[in-house]
Amino acid sequence: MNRGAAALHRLSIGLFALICLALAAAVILYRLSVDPVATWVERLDTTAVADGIGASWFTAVLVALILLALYWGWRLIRTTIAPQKPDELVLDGSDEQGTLTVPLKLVARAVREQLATQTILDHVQVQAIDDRGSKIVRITVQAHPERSYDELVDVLAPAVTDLKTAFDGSDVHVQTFIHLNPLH
Amino acid sequence: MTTTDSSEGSAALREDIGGSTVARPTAFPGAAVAGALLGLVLLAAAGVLIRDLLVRAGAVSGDTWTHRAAEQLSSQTWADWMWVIPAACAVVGLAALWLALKPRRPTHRRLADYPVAWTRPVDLARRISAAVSDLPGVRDAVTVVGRRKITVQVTAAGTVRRSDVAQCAAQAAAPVAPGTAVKVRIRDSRKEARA
Repeated sequence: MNRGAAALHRLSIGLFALICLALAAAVILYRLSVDPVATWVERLDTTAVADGIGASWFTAVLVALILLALYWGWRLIRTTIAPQKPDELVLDGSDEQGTLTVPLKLVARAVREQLATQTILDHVQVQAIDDRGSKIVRITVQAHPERSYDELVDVLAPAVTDLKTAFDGSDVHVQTFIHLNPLH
Repeated sequence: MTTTDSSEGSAALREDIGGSTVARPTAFPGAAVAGALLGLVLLAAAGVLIRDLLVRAGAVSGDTWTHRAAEQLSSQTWADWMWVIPAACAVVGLAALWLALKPRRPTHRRLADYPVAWTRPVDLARRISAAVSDLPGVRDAVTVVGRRKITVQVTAAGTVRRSDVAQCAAQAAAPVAPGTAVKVRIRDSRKEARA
């Protein structure tokens, strides 16, 4: 999950936590008659609040609350479902006259096809992700645990070399995850 | 079993493409799941408010739920069972605060010689178990990889030397956790069978 999305979730949950804790503290301190909280709660005119909610001007408040809840809720769900959506990569040589871009998804597909020919790999997954501000081509391979890490690194090396050649000088990163099957 | 540890052609994994630093792979933040639930609650609340808006516009008959809730709240008198409400709010609030502040859990360890290659502790344990299982006399091996210690439990079907197991485990762990202490426990399956 990206920093922005994580910050949104953390702030939202933090705000919710503070509201819950404030509510709990207010009720407990009011019931135990601890000042000044007890005095503040005593001053609340709940009848006036109910009357206000019934007033015609509350329609505008309702509309504002609906828009806020819809936007906030949609943002929270969307950033959970697609937390690392990759962007197109802008290549060196782009200027005012034109922009050279490469969709990272296509690069990921090409790498996956290249590694799929390696028989010692049981499974290959290549993703183009945007993780906390870094554009990453992430290669995840699954192999038998009888294979050593150095063997698997050797298998991955040509694909990584190709990526380096293609993205030399850019701020794209490559990350390889080596996962091993359970031992039978 | 193949255990050739050649490093030919692996120079590509010794350095990244981009010059900037990449954050360590971590698990989904705990706040993300709670955030998604909060998102659903907000959408449900928006649905209730839309219904109230339609009631106010005359498109739906009945009383607005927000107004009714506010009226009922203003006419409530305190009862002992209501202590449950602040207690529940405090528990939920503290749990949510912990989720909001909890740092992300790292999921992978970097390979010592290859900064762009990562593996999970469970994969390292599987690798060590596979290497140890290949030793003569070893019937089965189970490995637990901790932060500072690797524990290998061997079920022996013959004579197994503790030092051989420790050396084999250390070699298998070297690409990820060089120098990590290895603790070996050996169980004799023949003795267990006799017992």
